[in-house]
Amino acid sequence: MSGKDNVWKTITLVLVAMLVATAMMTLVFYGQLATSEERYRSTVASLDSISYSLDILFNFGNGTKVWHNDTRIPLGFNLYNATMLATRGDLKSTYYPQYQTHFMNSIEGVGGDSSKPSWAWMTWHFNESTGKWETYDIGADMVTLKSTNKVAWFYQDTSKYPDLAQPN
Amino acid sequence: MLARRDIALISVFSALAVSSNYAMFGFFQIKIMDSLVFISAYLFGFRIGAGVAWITWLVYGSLNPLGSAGFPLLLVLMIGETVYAASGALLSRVWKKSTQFGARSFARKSLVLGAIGLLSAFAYDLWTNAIDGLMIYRSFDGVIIRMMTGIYFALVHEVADFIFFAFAVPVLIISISRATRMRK
Repeated sequence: MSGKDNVWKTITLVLVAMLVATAMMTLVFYGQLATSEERYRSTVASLDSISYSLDILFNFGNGTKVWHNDTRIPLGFNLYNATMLATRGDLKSTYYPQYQTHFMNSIEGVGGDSSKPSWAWMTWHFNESTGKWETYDIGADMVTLKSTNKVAWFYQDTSKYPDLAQPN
Repeated sequence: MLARRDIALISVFSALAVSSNYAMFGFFQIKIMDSLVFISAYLFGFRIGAGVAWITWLVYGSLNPLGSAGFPLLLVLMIGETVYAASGALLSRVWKKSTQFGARSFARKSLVLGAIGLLSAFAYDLWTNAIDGLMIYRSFDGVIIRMMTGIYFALVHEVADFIFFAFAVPVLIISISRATRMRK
């Protein structure tokens, strides 16, 4: 038997061993992944009983749109609370007791532009039955959220209200 | 028929394997027993290796801190361990019972031994898990379930055997062969 044959036999044997080891490791990791996914599903199922998940869109009116998908909120949160959560408190607002709601001045530094007096942050929700975006007729504090909600804040020109541009 | 020398060899190797199993009890799935079965078959033939495998499991499987394996699992383990005796005897034939691990060939031979250790452990795990699954669940699905649940332990066993076979086995082959030569 030549030395070259021996080298190839060694390489083949080692490669087969590596293949077995790699396959075993893959199965171990696959098992761990399956366990993690199961735990994740179980945790989400538990969360569903004490919280809601909703999608929030921020349209800054300058072409920038930011989605906060699957934002987890506790039961009983209104749109203002959810917005506070999604922006991590990076907003400015004024509370009007007579309406029991906040007026949004700015979100993440956008809003209150004196050169655009007719621009304001508007609240929207996506109507699943009509397949269209619609504005809320009430303030953000009065909007009770549900798990299926898809909502939006849109900084836009309100001078032509109710003929407004869609947030998305 | 076994000669007195064969009985003595089986006894010594089995004693080493059993005692090392107890000594390494805390290290789950890491045992030098497989290497000892392999070496005994490599240096002294398949019959000796198989004898060591069977005696070791007969003792360790019966007198185990975790409880006795019992029949027929004990038989499955004994047959499974014979894989190491078979691979030892096979390599002994291919390498012509060589006990020379020169500086130039050491790395290659060590790698071959490591690969054989890993593959033998794989065959052993495949066999024992498959039969165990069949005995517990009495179905092919049970075989798959048992293999999947035991895969992590099998991997630890195979990696440990790779390391033992690559590093400890060459050293033991050299030293044991020198000791037996001294006796002649």
